[in-house]
Amino acid sequence: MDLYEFAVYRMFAPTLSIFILGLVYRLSRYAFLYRRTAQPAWRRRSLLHRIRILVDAFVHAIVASIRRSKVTFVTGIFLLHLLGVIPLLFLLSHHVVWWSYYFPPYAILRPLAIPTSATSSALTVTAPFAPITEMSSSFVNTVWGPLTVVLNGDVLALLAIIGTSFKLLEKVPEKVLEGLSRIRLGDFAALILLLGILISGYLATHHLPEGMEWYRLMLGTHVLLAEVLVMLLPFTKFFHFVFGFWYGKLHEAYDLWRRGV
Amino acid sequence: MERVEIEGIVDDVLRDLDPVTLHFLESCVSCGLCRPYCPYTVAGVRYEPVNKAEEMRKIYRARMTVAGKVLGGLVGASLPEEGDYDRLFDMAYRCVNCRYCYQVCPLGIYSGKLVIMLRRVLDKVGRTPTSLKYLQGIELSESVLSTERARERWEEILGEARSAVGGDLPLDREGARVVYLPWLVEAVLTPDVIVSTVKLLDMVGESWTMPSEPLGFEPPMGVIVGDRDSERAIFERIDSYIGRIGGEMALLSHGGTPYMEMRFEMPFVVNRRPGYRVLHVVEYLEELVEGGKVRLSRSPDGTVTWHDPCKLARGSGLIEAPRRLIRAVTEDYRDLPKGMGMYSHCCGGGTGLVFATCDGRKLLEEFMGEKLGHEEWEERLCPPLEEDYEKAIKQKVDEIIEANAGVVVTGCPTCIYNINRGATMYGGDFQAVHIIQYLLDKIEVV
Repeated sequence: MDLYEFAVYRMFAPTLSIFILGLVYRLSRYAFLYRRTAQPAWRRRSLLHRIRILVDAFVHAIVASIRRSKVTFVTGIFLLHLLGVIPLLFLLSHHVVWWSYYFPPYAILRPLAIPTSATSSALTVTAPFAPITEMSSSFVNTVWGPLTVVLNGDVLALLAIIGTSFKLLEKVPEKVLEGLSRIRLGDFAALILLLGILISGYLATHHLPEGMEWYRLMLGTHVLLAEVLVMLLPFTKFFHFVFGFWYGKLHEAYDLWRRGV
Repeated sequence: MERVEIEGIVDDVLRDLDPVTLHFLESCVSCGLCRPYCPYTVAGVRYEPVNKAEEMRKIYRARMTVAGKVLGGLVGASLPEEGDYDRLFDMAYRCVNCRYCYQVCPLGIYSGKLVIMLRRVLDKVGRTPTSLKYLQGIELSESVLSTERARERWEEILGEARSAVGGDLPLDREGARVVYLPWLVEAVLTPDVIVSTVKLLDMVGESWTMPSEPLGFEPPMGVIVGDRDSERAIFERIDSYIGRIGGEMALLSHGGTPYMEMRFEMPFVVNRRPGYRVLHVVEYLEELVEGGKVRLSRSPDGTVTWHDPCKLARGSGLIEAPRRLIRAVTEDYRDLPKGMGMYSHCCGGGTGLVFATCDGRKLLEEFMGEKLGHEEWEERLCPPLEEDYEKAIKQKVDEIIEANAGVVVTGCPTCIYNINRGATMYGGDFQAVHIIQYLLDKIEVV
């Protein structure tokens, strides 16, 4: 059994089990700490105002980063999250197929799938193989139209790799020169893991290095690292992706509603 | 201090943990987006909110997480030791709880709340500034007017208020509709505001009363020093006083900690929703205008701006109301350039910091007519705190200078003190006044 088989066929169930157990553990801590208390009188505001506040709660950080921390906006929010990991994870055509296999209703998103490349749905200009059609320079016809120039696996993966690398390197001076105690080993480990997933996925997609063994090794590495991330997810900062972000923003909106901000 | 004692202290601090605080403790991704928004980052990047909150997270991990107990420092978990106290003090007292970090955090984390938890730990190891501990003590005692000098000063203010209304004041009068609650901190920093508010209540013929002596210094001081029990005790006392009067409304001219805490936190702490409304004088005035009881007349005062006190705007949602009132009396109003309302930059000295600085202490000692004494560590840590506080208020002063406003209207005595102190220190040609002082001579009773 090679790494690919191990990752795809042996590790899937344990990964899912650990993830679910971790999730239950984390969420139960929140549930057990809940205590019903008296509430202050809410400030009166219109329904429209409350809807605006709900939306605002989700965009405040984006606005705040654009105003005073443009580097964080470009690297952390835009490259890493908005253009990188989120569309890649949920809309890259390969991933849409994967999600649909385990969760068939996900197939509804197939029309929105992002191709690997703007010029070929299978390979790319950097692939070691020649395109199999003579239409290699034609744009792939997706629902995204001209946006496919950016919304394709090649470009998004590179942007995500740049964003992740920057966030990783940024932590070195923050730790060494600024002596910030909030920079921890786990921060480096999480970003290195993410970088490993992105790079191995990119290499596998491009059949680099050439040869079936390498392809299986790269894809196996990609899947295995992704499984490691899923297993660690409930116990690390990645938890913000499934819970922390949503809980935090909804609580913020609730708090602002109450105060009538 | 033995490790077991520290563990007991930490357990006590964490005993009130709720899901929201758990989220604050566990969900940070260390993105650092809060850094440019904290008024104290200017004093050093180590004072960015997330790095200050990390000190409390380390303690939490060491005591409450499996990874922290097993792996300790490797996962950023450690209990404080004697040698850490100076650093922890610096971190805990470079925060004004202005809620800006909460506002901009992508995860909705309020680092300021964790800094207050850190103050709670420090309080239990004896590292609360003597001045704040003193204020907490007098707030919990029989009377905040604990010295002869303080009593004289309070009587002077009441005397001025009597002159302003031309008669006696309805002190502690049961059955009054409005219970005006001036705090001792206002007597120290902005006594005229108390007089102006009394005059307003008298002018409009309100059924009102006020306590014959303040019910607290800047309640709850327990929030400021991080003592949950004293916070509960003072809230109970205030709630019971208003209950005895039978008032429908508690009216505050202090738009900082006391207003936000009474309006939005008190029900959680005492686990009871009060049977009266809590209003800042801005809201009260707007109700009078909307109800047609008073009219505001225009008068030229040069360029006027409104400084949003963090706890009145971000903390309590009073953003447009004061602007509507000011715009009604002047045509030359302009917002501050760095941001307004939710994005207002803090004055830099709230949540007790003013009285933790050397100058603030002197002011307090002078008012109370009493020397406070201090611990050895305070001599070491107070001067740098003073320097950093001055750097923090300079940012606000620079912003006001940029706005080119001659009058800065606001609604919190601490903001007024800090802004005026900053103007004196950094050559700002403006004066900060309370909104009630600014509007009083422009109010016509209909």
